[in-house]
Amino acid sequence: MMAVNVYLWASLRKFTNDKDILKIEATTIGELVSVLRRDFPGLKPFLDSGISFAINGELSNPNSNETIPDEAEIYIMQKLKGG
Amino acid sequence: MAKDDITKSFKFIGTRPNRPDGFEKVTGRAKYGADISAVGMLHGAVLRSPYAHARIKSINFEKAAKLDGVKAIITRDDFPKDREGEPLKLLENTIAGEIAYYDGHAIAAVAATSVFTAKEALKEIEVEYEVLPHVIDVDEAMKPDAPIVRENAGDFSVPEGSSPNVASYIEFGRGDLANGFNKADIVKSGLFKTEAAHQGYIEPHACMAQLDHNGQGEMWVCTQGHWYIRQMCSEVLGLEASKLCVTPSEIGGGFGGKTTIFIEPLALALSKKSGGRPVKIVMSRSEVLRATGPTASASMDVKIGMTKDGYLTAGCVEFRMQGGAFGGSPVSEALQCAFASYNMDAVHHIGFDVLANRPRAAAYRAPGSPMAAFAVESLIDEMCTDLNLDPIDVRLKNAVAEGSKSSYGPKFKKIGLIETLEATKEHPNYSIELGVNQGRGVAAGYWMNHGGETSVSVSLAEDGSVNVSVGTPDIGGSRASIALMTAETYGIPYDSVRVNILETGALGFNEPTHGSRATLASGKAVYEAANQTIAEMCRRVAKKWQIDPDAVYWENGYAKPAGPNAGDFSPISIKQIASEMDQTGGPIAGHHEASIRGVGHSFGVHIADVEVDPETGRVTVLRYLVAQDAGRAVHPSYVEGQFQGGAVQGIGWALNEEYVYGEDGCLQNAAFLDYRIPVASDLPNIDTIIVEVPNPDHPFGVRGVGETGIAPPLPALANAVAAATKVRLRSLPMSPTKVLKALKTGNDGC
Repeated sequence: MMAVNVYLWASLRKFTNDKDILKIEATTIGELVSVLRRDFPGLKPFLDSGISFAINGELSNPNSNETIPDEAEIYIMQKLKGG
Repeated sequence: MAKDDITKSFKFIGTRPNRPDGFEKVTGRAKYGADISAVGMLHGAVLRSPYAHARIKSINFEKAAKLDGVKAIITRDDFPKDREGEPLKLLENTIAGEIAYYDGHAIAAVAATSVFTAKEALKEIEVEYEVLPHVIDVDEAMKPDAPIVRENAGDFSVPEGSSPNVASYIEFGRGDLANGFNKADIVKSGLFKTEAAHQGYIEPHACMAQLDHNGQGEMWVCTQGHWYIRQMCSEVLGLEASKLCVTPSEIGGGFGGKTTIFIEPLALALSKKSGGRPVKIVMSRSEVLRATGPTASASMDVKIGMTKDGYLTAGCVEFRMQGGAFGGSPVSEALQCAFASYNMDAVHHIGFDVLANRPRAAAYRAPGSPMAAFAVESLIDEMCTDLNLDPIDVRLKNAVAEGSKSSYGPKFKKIGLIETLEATKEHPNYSIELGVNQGRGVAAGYWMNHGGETSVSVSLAEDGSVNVSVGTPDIGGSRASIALMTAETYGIPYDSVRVNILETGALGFNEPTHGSRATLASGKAVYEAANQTIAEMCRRVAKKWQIDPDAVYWENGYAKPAGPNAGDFSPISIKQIASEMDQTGGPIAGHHEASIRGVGHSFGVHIADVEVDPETGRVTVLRYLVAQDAGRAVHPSYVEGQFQGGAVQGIGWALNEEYVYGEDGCLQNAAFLDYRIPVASDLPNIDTIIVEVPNPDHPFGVRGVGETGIAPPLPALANAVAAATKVRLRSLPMSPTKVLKALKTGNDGC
């Protein structure tokens, strides 16, 4: 299983042992979120608050079944409020 | 303007037919929220807090209930008591519990046989208040001794030691900031402020709701997103979502302000309490301004480093945004947009969502981006002036392009900022000579756009015309753009397509028409659904011809043999296929459901020319140019309309619009007479340039065009006023009194 780089906003470092880039082994977005919940329980309220993903620059709503490409660059952000 | 290497030729895309809903709208036949009525309908009215912050000690509605024609009165006691999280905030904002948190907060509601009776009944409701200290200004709210708006309101993100009025905190960035500033030849910083502004949609909120004792109900409502209305009302009232059917009316503007609930749960609760009679509530303009969701007010610190030849080396911002009594300012979006137009090695962003005794902020067109643009683009303009550099050249030197790492992290795909800047520079407006007291301002703006959850269906009518069913209400011409994309896909006339906007029971979940997504997302989904039907038509024709389905292809409304080897068959039209549907397997329909991918980021560049009257401080906009990358302009007239509409709203925000509160914390300008949105006579023609750098991830190259246009006007006008007066205003709006004060004292307004 490939490890992917997951980028979090710096204000979440307090929940991730002061890291804002995490190496996570996961093949799908669902697995990725599960690993984050397991290893960094402090992130739960953030993950539950409504998030979106940018996978290799592609912004989208979370899709648990989405396969993560090899060596993907993943950013987790708050869900967008559009006008 | 299109880039040749990725341009397809289209038959219908890019044409300008009349909008299919136009006749109904100009003749008054179209039904908006307040036009809906039903047999036995009651009229609702809402009692609102006259105080900015007050404990509700008692509510006595005995006298009101005895009035002839009064059928139901509700207070918070009529709503579930076990809500928590976001549903509780929605409920609290819909109707106050123990505390009224802002001037205009709903306290009780009445349903009666006439509007007059309902309003008379409100006067008979006796409420005993204990007035509490209030706070309105965002910086005041963050002071240690500020009145606490709501106890324990901060979420997981708030650092220890923060003001109790901080609801959430966000921080991100990259690079070595100190090193970046060291590389700069000039480093400037400044405080910038914007006031809350309302979306100013012409149609006030209105709905009619009916709810039975068993939790089954219906609602007709003016909204950008009826699935959101269903979801929020269900969560607030404890209903099963599928039992509430929500139908959208036509909509007279929304701009983000109609993506949430205000009166809708009240109408449902009144209906239930009155025995299931339909209840209609229509807000007045005063109620809209006092009790719906404007955007946040903002206080923003910015620091930027630049080399003497105009390269940006580093930037940092701290944004404090007031989101009302329940939070919800667009501070995270503002931070994402702040430096998004530029390549910068070192950036740092800090943001606070701050509570105040004001109505809860709602989304407003590119939420957060206009404030961020005002702060960042104003400071960049100051530096260009200091260094005697051309403002467009500086932006070209720093502009992001495909592959650039955005200031908030992800890399950009194909984008068109450079093309937009180049088009702006070539436009005649940029070289027109200016006169005395006149100035020119340039600014860029960004919005990321959104895909979102989308569900559509497409069906073939028996005569070969096509019905398209979508769940995104048509605010800015999306029926026309979706019909054009459908016509293009099939190769049939535009007039042979009808686009319907269906109620919540007829399609899967749809996010609202927000995030500039309707044409992008519904269009992409319709393309997929239409191609399902085309594949089915080709299969049926293949059976008729007794050849392999792969040997049939679709072109210009006809199924055709794929080549000489497929056989010698005459093409069969969509009309013929449709007329034989009942003999070839039954109805032909397609549908598509997805969280739509392939969002195309959008950049715009504006030029404003103004004249400032040194005696009155009045700013007159002489000419105005909007250039923006649309990806592909499906219907150019409506794209231009979006560009112009965004510019006009931005001009209003920059020059006149603001929420004015008195010492008592009550809104003093809750009417359009005093809350001054621009009218036609305030404005020049808004010139437009549609730049087309097609989005490669959309079948027609669409990016979404609705929101970006409101970001650049705030700084473009501030930069123009500074150029005209040599005085920099760092606080909006630049009203005549503020400009005059600046001219006399040099005060920047902060």
